[in-house]
Amino acid sequence: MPLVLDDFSAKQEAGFRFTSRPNCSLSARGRKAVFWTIAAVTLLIATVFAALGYWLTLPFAGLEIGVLAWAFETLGRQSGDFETLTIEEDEVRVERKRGDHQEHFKLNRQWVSLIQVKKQAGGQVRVALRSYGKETELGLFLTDEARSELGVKLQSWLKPGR
Amino acid sequence: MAHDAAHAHDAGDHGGHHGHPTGIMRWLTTTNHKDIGSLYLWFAGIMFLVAGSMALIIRAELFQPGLQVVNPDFFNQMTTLHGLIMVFGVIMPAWAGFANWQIPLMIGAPDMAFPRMNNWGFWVLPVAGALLIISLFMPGGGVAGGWTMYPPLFIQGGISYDMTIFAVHILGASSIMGSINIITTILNMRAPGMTLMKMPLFVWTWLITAYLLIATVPVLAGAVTMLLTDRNFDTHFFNAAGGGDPVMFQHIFWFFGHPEVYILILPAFGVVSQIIPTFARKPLFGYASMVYATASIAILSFIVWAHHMFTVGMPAAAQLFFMYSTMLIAVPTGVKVFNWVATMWKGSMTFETPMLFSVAFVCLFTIGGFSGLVCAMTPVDIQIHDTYYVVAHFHYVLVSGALFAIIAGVYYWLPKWTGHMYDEKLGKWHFWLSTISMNITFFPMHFLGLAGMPRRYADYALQFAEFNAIASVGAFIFGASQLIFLWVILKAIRGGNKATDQVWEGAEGLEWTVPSPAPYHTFETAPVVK
Repeated sequence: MPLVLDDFSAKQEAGFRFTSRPNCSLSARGRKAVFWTIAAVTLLIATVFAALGYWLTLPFAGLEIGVLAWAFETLGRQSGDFETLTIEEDEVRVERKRGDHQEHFKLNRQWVSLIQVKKQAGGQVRVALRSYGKETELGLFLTDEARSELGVKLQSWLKPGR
Repeated sequence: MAHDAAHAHDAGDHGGHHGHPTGIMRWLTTTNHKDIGSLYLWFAGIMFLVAGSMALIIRAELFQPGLQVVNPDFFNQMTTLHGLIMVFGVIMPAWAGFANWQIPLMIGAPDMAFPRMNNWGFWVLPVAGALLIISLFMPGGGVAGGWTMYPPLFIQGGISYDMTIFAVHILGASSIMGSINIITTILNMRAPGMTLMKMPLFVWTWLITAYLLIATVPVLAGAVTMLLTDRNFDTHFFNAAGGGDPVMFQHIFWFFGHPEVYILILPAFGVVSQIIPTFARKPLFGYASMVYATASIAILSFIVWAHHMFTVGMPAAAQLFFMYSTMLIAVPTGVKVFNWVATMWKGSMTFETPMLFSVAFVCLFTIGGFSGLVCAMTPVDIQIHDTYYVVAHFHYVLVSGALFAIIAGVYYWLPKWTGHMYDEKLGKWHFWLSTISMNITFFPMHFLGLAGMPRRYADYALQFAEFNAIASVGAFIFGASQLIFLWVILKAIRGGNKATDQVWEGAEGLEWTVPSPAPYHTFETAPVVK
């Protein structure tokens, strides 16, 4: 799929916005439904055997459901992940959520420079913003190609860094 | 508008693959679904040679009445390990290999949902395989109690029995890790537009298989743990001498074991449902009914277990229940067979090797299904229980069913995996030799069973000599013909005609939109399915 940009810039001449997020085809409700369906069937079976005296099926079922819960919990944490870059007048805003970690910061557009590093052997394409000696990476959820494309788009909005 | 990137799951795992490691470290540390798929398939192939060699030892001994090649105890070790390794070390890992290679490609995902867990899921397998094989060299010899691990034999044996129980635990853990990965991948990583009812049937069958595994593996783990505590910690779950109930082990084992049969065969249904439409150049007939039939088979698999143990004694009402519920499975299975035939009906069919194996699957699996119906009838089963009729039945289901579908799938997707077309002429030799020899091996076993020859004996009465000799000749031809298969695969890996992206004229699906061989990374940006 080609890189898709927000049409924000078309509406407001002085603005640019880009949002990326992972592809999740399972909704939060679906996640719960799937998990509890599996857990209920597995625990029901193990409980019946435990009730008959063959209780050692129960810890294995519990362990398995624990791993399953961890897996679905991880998916849940990832499902809300996003990264948004907004350039509006003199302000550059970056909002990012990955798992439990959420960050949000504003930069002065006049002091921000764009860092682009092409793909090298064993490495990835890098696109980053630098301001006051600090860098923040962009395109966390993007492929190398999409990240390169984002870098090209940003060239007309930000001054290049060294 | 936002950009949906598909590679965010466990994203840290992928970073290192741009210029991925080479050599042994590539394979030990890989989190790439294609690498792990290849590892599973090679592991299954190696274990197939090991367990196949054990089958040839069994058939060499049974070539003539009397004891010629091995002693009876070693014979029993061979039958036990042949069964255990073929089920847990060959068919299941082979399907896991297909799942790893194909599911992400078929649903437009960049990888499995949990790549590191995927790596662990594979790398515990060789440990379990080694435990099973090394157990042969332990004091007292290998396990000889049958692959079903029934007490009291399994409570009485030496250290190799503990090793086998540990191996089964490890194999179960691997299956659980694989299943959780497969369910989360299929449900959460489908490309936009890939609704559940647009998924390829192979993906559907694996989704249902993974559910079965998650529901039943704790039961097996619990059962073998209770064997272990009976053996080592003076519990008496199944030890009749201490008031335990050995028959209950059979109930628990088969509560796992019958769904296990469908765990082995459902992905085969999926593969054949991919191949037949391709070579008939028609869409699959009755897609939705195929999905519902697969789900029905899975649900019914939980209520038929006691048909494996009609002879242990149970109330007539229970016998009737398990007889009828077993027969009910013929309905959704019949829907599937009908749909495959209807897909071929008036199709522009060509018979490349994957199609040949698939057509053979439909015909021969149906024979196995019908002999299963015979076994389902309680009065008949009481006559043929533990005879060669049952051996014939489950080998028609597992050899010409599961194994033929695995072979068909390898031929079908080999050009996509290697980038080269396989040798069609050798493929056809492999097909004809395998199909003819498979029937020579297993068809006479129906007659042996009906005549009363019991299974798991190294010696037999003279009246069974001719059919046993025929079966043994067939087995050795079948074994030798699999070396052709190995050669065809190696030849395709080394070179050959370049495969196109689509490979087969009638092939449809996302996996045929990527180059051949499939690049190390695919669908990092999710495709859109119309």
